[in-house]
Amino acid sequence: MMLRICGLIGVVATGALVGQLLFLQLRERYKQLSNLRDGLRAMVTEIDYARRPLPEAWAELSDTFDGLTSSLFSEAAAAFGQGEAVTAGRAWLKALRSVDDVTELTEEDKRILRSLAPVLGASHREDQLAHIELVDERLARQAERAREVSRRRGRLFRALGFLTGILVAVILL
Amino acid sequence: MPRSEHESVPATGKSESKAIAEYLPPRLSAVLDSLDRLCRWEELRLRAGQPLTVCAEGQTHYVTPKGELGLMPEDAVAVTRRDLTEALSLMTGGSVYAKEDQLARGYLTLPGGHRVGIAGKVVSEGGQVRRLLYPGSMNIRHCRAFRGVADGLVDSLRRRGRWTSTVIISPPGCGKTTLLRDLVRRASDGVAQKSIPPVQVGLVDERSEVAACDQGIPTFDVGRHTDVIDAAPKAEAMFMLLRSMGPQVLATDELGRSEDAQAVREALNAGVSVFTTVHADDVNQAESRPYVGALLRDGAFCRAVVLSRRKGPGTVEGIAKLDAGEGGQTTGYWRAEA
Repeated sequence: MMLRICGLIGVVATGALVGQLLFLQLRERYKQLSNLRDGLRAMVTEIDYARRPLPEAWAELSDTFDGLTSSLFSEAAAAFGQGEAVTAGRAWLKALRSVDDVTELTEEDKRILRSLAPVLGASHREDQLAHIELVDERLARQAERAREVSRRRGRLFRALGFLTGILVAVILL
Repeated sequence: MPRSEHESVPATGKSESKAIAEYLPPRLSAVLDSLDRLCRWEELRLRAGQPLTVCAEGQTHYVTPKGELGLMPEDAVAVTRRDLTEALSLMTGGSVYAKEDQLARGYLTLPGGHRVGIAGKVVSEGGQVRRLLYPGSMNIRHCRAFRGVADGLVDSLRRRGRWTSTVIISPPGCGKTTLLRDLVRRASDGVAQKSIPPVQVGLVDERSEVAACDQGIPTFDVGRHTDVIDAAPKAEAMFMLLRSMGPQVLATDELGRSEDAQAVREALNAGVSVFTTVHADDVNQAESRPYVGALLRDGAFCRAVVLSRRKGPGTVEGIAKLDAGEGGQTTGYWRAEA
């Protein structure tokens, strides 16, 4: 009997855990987007104030960020000048591909980040800043949506997970 | 002063063209690798839609896809717009904005002092070129340091125990910058055999060609007592050095603008000797230039070293003695074959 109770508690806990994981996954996307926006703002400073070439800036910024942003910057810095990545834009695309498996970003988020590639490093300062600002604005909207989704669906997923656990436990009884 | 007699000192420690090849797209850098074995090239010219050419010892050659020198343009590697865009990206570290001031003046300087002249579509505002929009052609000038090329001139360029203000005059590609670099090194280090002591030298390297600084540190040997202001406007940088570093000799490349001439006058009034270079065929032509001419006529410089390519780059055609005699008149020119 005791074993059976423990098993049922386990089933409920598993349901709750799955709901919690789904919630964390949603929240992680928001965190990654927010972090990427911070990274873009740091890039703006490097371009506007220091006039530092992007590979140098990426290499340095990768140490000051963590998670996805850090990986993206360090991959882009390493990719520049290797093989076909002879422009900053191509290095950026290569880096985006290489961090694809550690990101919770949606295809739309990635498309926005990829849209930087054709202009990245290829034009004068004001143009760079304008393009990065545009991408930042689009990411801001995505982040706001991600936050809203994680708030609404997160609560739903956690409740659903818990209730599904209870339902399965009741069926098993 | 035939250069081949002097030791060549690579600025970056890399082999001849290696330092340049890494700034070209892969298909062009592969070609460049084999060029060193064939000739001592001076200029590599890339023009969109045209054959790749190289200038060596005064001759222009086409470069074949195997990196050989060809006679027919159709045998040569065809340079594309994409090649130029990619080269520009590599030369600017993937960041055109980082070099936009240099690009607006029509050139870039690569690590090692290799100068890249760039032409193409530009954007102008208020009658001034603001930025380069699309590169259409590039001229990559291979920079080599020749240690000791100034040795034969040392005695001629000193008077009453100090270095005299000297202007080096020649058309482009005759070795002005190379001679200036070695002169700076000589003045800075001194010449023990001739009991010439070292002096404090301030070097204004607006185009980063003389010292080829890497993050402010010279990669060429410009002497142990040389302070370099890199990639700054000449006149302003000269005033900075005068105010802060107390140079005994001030050196700068390619004098031309009115503010440069004014800064030179300030230096001379402060008792500082000036080494500089001017684009002209000879002293007379230099005198006809607006601001430099006024400096020469006013006796700002004591010596003018005139260079040509007659016996190869760096041929000293003569040393003009410009010392003002009585009544402020130039005492005359004399020729010296070094």
